[in-house]
Amino acid sequence: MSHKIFKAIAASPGIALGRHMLLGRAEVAPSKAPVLAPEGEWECFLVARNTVEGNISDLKTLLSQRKGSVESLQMLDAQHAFLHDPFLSQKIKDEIFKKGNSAPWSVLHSFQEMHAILSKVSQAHIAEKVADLEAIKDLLMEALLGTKNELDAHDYSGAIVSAHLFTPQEVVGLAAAGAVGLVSETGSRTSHVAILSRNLNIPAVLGVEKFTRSIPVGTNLALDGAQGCVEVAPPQAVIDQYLSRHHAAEKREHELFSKAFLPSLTKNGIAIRTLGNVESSGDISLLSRNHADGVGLFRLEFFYIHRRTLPSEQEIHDEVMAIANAFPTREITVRLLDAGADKEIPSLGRLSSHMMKSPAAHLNPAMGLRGSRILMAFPELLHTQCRALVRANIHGNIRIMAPFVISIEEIRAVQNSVNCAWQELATTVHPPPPRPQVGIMVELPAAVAMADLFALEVDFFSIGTNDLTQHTLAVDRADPSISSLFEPLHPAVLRFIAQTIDSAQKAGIEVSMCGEMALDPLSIELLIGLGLTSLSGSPKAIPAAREIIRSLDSLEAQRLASDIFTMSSATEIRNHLLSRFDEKFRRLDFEIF
Amino acid sequence: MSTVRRRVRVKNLLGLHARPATALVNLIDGFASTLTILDVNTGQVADARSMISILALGAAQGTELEIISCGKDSEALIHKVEELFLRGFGESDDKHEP
Repeated sequence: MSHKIFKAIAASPGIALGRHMLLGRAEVAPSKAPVLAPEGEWECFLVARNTVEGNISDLKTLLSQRKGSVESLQMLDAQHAFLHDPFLSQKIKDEIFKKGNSAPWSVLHSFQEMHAILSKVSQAHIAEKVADLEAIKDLLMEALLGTKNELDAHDYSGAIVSAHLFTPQEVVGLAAAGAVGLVSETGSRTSHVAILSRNLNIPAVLGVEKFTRSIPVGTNLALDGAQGCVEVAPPQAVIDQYLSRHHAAEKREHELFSKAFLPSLTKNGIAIRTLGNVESSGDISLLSRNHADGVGLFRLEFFYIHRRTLPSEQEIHDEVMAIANAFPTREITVRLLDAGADKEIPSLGRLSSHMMKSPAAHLNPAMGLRGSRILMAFPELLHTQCRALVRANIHGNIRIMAPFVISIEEIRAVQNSVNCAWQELATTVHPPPPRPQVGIMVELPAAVAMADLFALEVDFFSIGTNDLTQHTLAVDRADPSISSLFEPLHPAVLRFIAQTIDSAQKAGIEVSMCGEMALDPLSIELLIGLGLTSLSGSPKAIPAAREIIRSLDSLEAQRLASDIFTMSSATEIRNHLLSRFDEKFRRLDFEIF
Repeated sequence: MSTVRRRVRVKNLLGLHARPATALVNLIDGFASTLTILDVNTGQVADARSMISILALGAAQGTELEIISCGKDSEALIHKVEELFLRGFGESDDKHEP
């Protein structure tokens, strides 16, 4: 493989050096010893081959009825040719009959040999065909072993893992398995996978087209998650560069850490709270290390995506309680389950298969049955969460936030559920814990339009910039072909943010921001200028954000905000902020991320 | 049994890649004779019944190959194969030929 450079979406900062591994295509380790006589093992292989043959022809039938599937059909023909390749079959036969090995082991071993032969071909588009070979191998192994490849069966330690698309569970699993970097062909900076990798401290580059098909397994890779850069087969000089960048980043992070305990006040003494967005009580140490002023967004999704059954009230209570106890004097804002969109909840499929599996649910999940809509559709789901949170509020630091709200009915449903839960608790516990505040995420244009009226009904607003940007601009944040259009600094988005803040201030309720934009070094001054004093983002971003806040003047920030509001172009706004940032913070040597 | 040999040149822009290789494998399925492909310059040999073996040749556009068929219908087979090579396996990229 010759040296190649890919530039794509910078999703999670950090430097990684490692060998390339494909997710789910990595090797399983079947036993070499046969269970049956060679004839029996061979029969097993033939049956598996028939199954795969059946899969391929089913797919061909399906595709041949659709227009524009010529390429896919050609790919299936090629896969069919691999499946029946006489060399490959002979090799497998020899392994079984001459060497007395098991069918799964023989298949795996023979495919590895063929893989090695093909990856040596210098024509890239031919070497790419190893992906089809791998696909056939996976299908055969699945048919032979009766299971899909499980993530934890592989050794990912020290590897940079690539996939077309990672699920959140896979990201967590890979981080735990010691993978040092992630590359995916889809996704965006604000996708769940990007957010997770940042929280888990694992460098990631997303939206690298055709990566899994074109880069052979085992190739050395160098990845810079802050630059969105992946280098294939890097020469020593490049590796050295990456290492020195890694050391520089470590040094900078250490410096920021050492100052993170300083108060987060602007030069003219305005206190700005910096909070963390977290997924579980596992993030407690990350929050306290980085001196978070609390949790601006505790996502409950993680209780639901890991498993096939719904979590109990007690489980949710215990997890939230762990964080509430760790920071009894700091605010913990818990968002009710926002399922759907890019986070699929296995157990909900069982709860109501007809709703979740209807074709409409998959047409555009970002606009489908998600957020408060699911809570309205399954009231018991809402009540369980509210009961758990009301009980967990013994320190009075818990706030409940409804996601993806468009209507007053949704707000009232959540308020009613909280009130019922609290009254219920008050009959058994004396004195009862305080009733938690109830607020909403303002993340849809409809909620911004209604903000003046919603502000009269709720205790607080939290502006969710990821969805607000996506839905204001009608830009799917998971679509790499339009990722450059996903711009939270677009004047339309900024106007919506200002309008929301204004409505909240007029009604006298608290307003904060949670979302990737909130702690983005580039945006902080503008957000303070717009009147925000509570910003929540990835806990990792907190030390840098606090350093920036300490160097700002809130009156200057207000002037910046009025200047920005005269600009009608997102590019102009970004450039203005970039040059201002460069001027003010060059000495801090931040990575703008 | 007769052995027939012909010289052919790879016309396809992308060389002897997956699609032409699949076409060869499928064609030979209907014949009793064998077909061997020899890269004249490297001396590497492929059995045309095997997709992997053809792809492993890594034959780029312009590569000179010798096709060798052996068996009772070798004449007919070699004729068909030669035709495939001449037509660039039906891929219309002749205009890119150097």
